[in-house]
Order: sequence, then structure tokens, then C-alpha cells
Amino acid sequence: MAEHEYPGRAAPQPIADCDVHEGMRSITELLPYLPPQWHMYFNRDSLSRLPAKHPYLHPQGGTRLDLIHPDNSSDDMFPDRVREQLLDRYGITCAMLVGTYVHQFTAMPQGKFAAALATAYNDWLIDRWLSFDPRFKGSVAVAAQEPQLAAQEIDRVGGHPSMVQVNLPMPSPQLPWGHERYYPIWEAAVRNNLRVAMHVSPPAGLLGAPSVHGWATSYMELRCQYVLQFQSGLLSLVCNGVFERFPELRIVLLEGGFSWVPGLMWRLDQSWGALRREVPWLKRPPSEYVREHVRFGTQPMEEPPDPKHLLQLVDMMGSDRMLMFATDYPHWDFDDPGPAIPKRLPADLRRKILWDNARDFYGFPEPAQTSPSAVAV
Amino acid sequence: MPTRYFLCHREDLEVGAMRAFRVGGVQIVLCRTRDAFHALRDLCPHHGAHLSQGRLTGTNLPSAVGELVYGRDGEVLRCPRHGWEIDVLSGRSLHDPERKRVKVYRVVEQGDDVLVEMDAR
Repeated sequence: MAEHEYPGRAAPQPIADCDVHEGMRSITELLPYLPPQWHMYFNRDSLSRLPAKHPYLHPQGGTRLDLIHPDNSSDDMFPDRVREQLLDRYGITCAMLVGTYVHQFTAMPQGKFAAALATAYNDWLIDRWLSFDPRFKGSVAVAAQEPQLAAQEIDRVGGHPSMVQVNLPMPSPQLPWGHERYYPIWEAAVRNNLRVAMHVSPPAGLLGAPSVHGWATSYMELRCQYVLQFQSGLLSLVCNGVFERFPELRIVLLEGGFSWVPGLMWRLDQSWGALRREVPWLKRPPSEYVREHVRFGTQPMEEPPDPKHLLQLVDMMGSDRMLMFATDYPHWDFDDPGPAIPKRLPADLRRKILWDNARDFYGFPEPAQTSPSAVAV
Repeated sequence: MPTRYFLCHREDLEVGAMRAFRVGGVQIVLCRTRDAFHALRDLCPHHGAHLSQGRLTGTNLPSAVGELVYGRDGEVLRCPRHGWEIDVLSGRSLHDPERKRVKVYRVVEQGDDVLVEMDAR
């Protein structure tokens, strides 16, 4: 067993994990939270297709093999096991829960049912997870294809003390994220002092085809292609002036990598110099909006052959405040904070990636003293 | 001590027009706006294209999100390559006015003559 060992040295490092997927044994767990008029869709034919399904098959399944049990349950379905295996084991100070099924709510053409599912999910999340341990932080599930209903839902549960953000898929339903159709969502996020997490999502339902070249023919190709949905989504937000229109809006992009960010910012600024008059609502070089408003989860961590290239990437991004650590627990490509954030990086930068940047982004207090279970990494 | 060089007569250049000149070894572009004549170095600070081969035009002004408001007609010199916009009154680019700019020269009108003041070379 090649698990990373934690020696428990002094001066443990607080850690924020920005991408944790709380599990659910079955979507039928939502039934008690769902008004009866929607129970009709929980029938024999529909259940296996709820919500919109991932069209790609994964060679080993999406879950870490060491978390799966003979009865086909997995540890992520149980708050006490996640507390033990993630929070306590790795000394996680705050774990942002971003759900299972949640992003596919936005993929469903039956939008009002999707909104009802999102509401049920949030109540289930509060009952089962957020009430269990204050280190679990919630993300408000919404059906973004129904922006007004999404805003209502954000207002309904956004004030819960453990809710920290709105939960969206990176691919948008039908129209790109910069479209004014989604303004109610950004307004509600800002109104409730919530951040917005935008998470990689498969090309299911309304979320459309994965690229202009159509469909990848392997999961591996798809996983690498995911970068494109982040690039186009971020471009839409920036160029359409969403950050100019909502100066308090802050978003984190999860599972999209970050090595592409410097190049995209350079191209944005170069294009703006030439084509500013087409987007005159952008008052500053577009890269400045990215640095101010956008953060990037580290998982899956970029692994250049030479770790010093990571430093060069951060340098090229023009800020060491943009990266926030994430494990992606319990998924197969889980990043362990020890090996994932190389010790060759300067200590100050490692601390920012593991904790400070998320602390500042979410407004978390600095822990008075780190939990005794925390470990040095 | 700057020297005044004759460029043209007023009627040689219509409002909204521009023309390139070489004064000594320096290439300049003379632009006529509604109110005055303006002379700038005829060299884009980006890749060195001749601004005089671009367009003297207006642009969309800083605006609210989703709105397009045209203005400054005849006061913006658009580079023929890449489209950088130069304010002919100040020589500053519109997108990065502090760092990206071209030299401007004082223009003097004496009767019907249009002269530019430049250091003797």
C-alpha cells in the first residue's frame, strides 16, 4: 500500500479542500424532501436516468477503488466516514461540498422538475451533511436553466451559516454564461454574500456537446478536453462584462486545471487592445478581471515534469492568490495534499494554495488553533 | 529650440482627413479634427505600422454592460494592423493610455499655413 505517510510534525498546516463530493446511496434519498407532485418521475423507467446521465463510461468507475465496499456502497455516502477519512485524516479545516448529481440538474430539459430536485437536494444536504460537522461547507444546488427559480432557491437557503457558494456546472444550459439570462443567479449570489463554484460537468442533456469537434471517443480524451469548457465559459463571463456588471461576484473554477490561464489572459489582453470598441463595457484589461474575480481549484493538479515549471506558471498568472487546493474526494483522481502540492514550492506559496487563498476567498476565519487531528503536509 | 516646418495650407486637408509627411527624418501624420489640426508620429507603438494608413474615425465609448455608445468621431486614429486606437489629441492609446502612446507635435496655424513645431535635426 503506497499511501502517503503523515508524520504529524509540529506547526500543522490548515487546509481548505475546495472540491469534495458528498455521496448519496440513491437519488431516492431525495423523495422525502420532494413535494408529492413530482414523485411521478421516480418510476421504474425514469429512475435509472435521473437526473441527466453522464454519457461516458469510465474504465474503472469514478470512485477511488479503496473506498468501495463489497455491497457496492462507498465511503463518500456516509458523513461519519468522510469526516474520518478526509477531514480528520488530512487535517481539513473546511471542505466545500459540491455534490453528486447536482450539476446534472441544470442539464435537464424538464427545468421546473430540476428546480424541485435542487430544492430537495439542498434540504437533504443541510440535514445530512451540514448539520453533521461544521467543517462541511455547502454549495447551493440550482437548476440554472430556470434562472428565476435558481435565484429564489439561493435566497431560500443561501443564508444558512454553512452555505458558502452557489453550485453550477461549467458548461452552461443553452446560452453561454455571459448572457444576461443568468443575471438573476449572479445577483442572488452577491445578495446572499455567496461565492460561485463552477465545476466540470459531462456533456449531458442541455449541457451539450463537449467541443466544436464533437464527441471524444474515450474517457481519457474527454478528461483532457474538459479544459475547453472552462476556457469558453470563462471567456463568456469576461467578455460579456459579467464582472463589470457584478463587481462583487467571485467564482472558483473546479477541475479545469490552470496551466492554460496565462495564455488565455495574454490573448484576452491582446485582443482587447485591438478590439476594445466591441466590448466597451470592459474598463480594464480583461486579465485584471480574471485575477480579481476568479480562482482555480488545483485538482487535478498540473504535474509538469519539472516542478519549477509550476512556479513559472504562478509567475505568469501574475498572482499567487488564484490557486486553491482541492482533493476531489472520493473520485478516482483524488489529490492528496502532501504529494499534490510539491514541497519544492516555497513555503509561503504552499500555504496560500492550501489555505490562505480559500480563507480570503470565502471569508473564513483563521483557525484559533489547528485541530489536534491536523497533520503537517 | 523647436523649428517650425510648413506642412500644407488649411484647405489642403478636409475635416476628418489625414495625411503623412516626412519632416527631416521623421514621419508624421497630420490629422484634421472638427476644431484643429494634430500632428503625431506616424508609427504605431505596437508593431510600428504607419498610422496614416489606418482610419481617422470615432469609437464606442466606455459604456454600461451591453450598450454601445459611439462618440469622439474624427478624433481616434485606428492603426491599419491590429486595430489599436490612438487618441489624436493626446497620442495615447485608448486601451493602455499610460504605457502605449505616440509622440505628438505642436501644430501652429499662421494665416492659411499649417506648420508643425519639431526640434531641429
